[in-house]
Amino acid sequence: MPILPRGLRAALLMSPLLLAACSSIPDYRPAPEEAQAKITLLGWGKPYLCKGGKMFSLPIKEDGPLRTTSVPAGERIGLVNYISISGYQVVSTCISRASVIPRKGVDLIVNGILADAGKCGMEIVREDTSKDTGVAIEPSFAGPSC
Amino acid sequence: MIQRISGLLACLALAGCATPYQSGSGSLTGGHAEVHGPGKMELVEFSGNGYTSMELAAQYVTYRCAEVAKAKGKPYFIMYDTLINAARDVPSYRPLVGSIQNKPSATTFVLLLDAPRRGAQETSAVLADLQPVIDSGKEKKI
Repeated sequence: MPILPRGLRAALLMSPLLLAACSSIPDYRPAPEEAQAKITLLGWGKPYLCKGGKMFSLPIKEDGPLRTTSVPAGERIGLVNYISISGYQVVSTCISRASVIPRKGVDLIVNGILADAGKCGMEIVREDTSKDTGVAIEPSFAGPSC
Repeated sequence: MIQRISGLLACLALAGCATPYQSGSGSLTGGHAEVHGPGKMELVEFSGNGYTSMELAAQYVTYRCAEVAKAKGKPYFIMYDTLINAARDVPSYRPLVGSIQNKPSATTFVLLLDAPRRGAQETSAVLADLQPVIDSGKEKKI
């Protein structure tokens, strides 16, 4: 076996299990009149919702290159970003976790980041149309919550 | 001697296999791509194959930012390697470079400007500086 970073090697070994697990994760279906916040997705990966200790797949709307989804607002939620790349007859995966308190009417942006040597991460900011960069710090962005 | 020549030929062959500077839209071998937003920024990325160095991918993205700026008539641009740095207005002179399966991916958020400000790069200067990288397909040593 070629020399691989420990994290990537573990991910390679775990990938069949992870893929099987992801395929059985239920879609997030908001309760009637549940407050929602919009998230725009950039960069690498597909995010999953972790709420109340349970994982949910987030249905993603695609409009050209623009990908958006909705998450529950008003409470801290966990987000798990799952990157999967296949090639050279292997599947490489990388998972990053974070949490945030979305608020109704405050749109968020999740950016999936690929770092060196198979590592990855996730950053969450809020949209701010008053700035030319269009983004502002999201103060509730924090480490994993579940 | 034969071993040295074989090694040299192998190096040349491998260098020739690196993803060239090209549009990545619809390409199976990678290249550059842009997505508009957030705000007035654009997300610029370059994906390379296993023969593309991380530094070359970074320089391709920087050059692409300058190309995008020139195409839109903007003499300056600012790069932000992450959205958090964009939110804090902390410019970067180098894209964020990562890799998976030994394939590099360089990304940056670029803000196009009409006038210079802190952290801005001059479009024409970047194009001139990195043109040899585009022509040769070899990274500039820093």
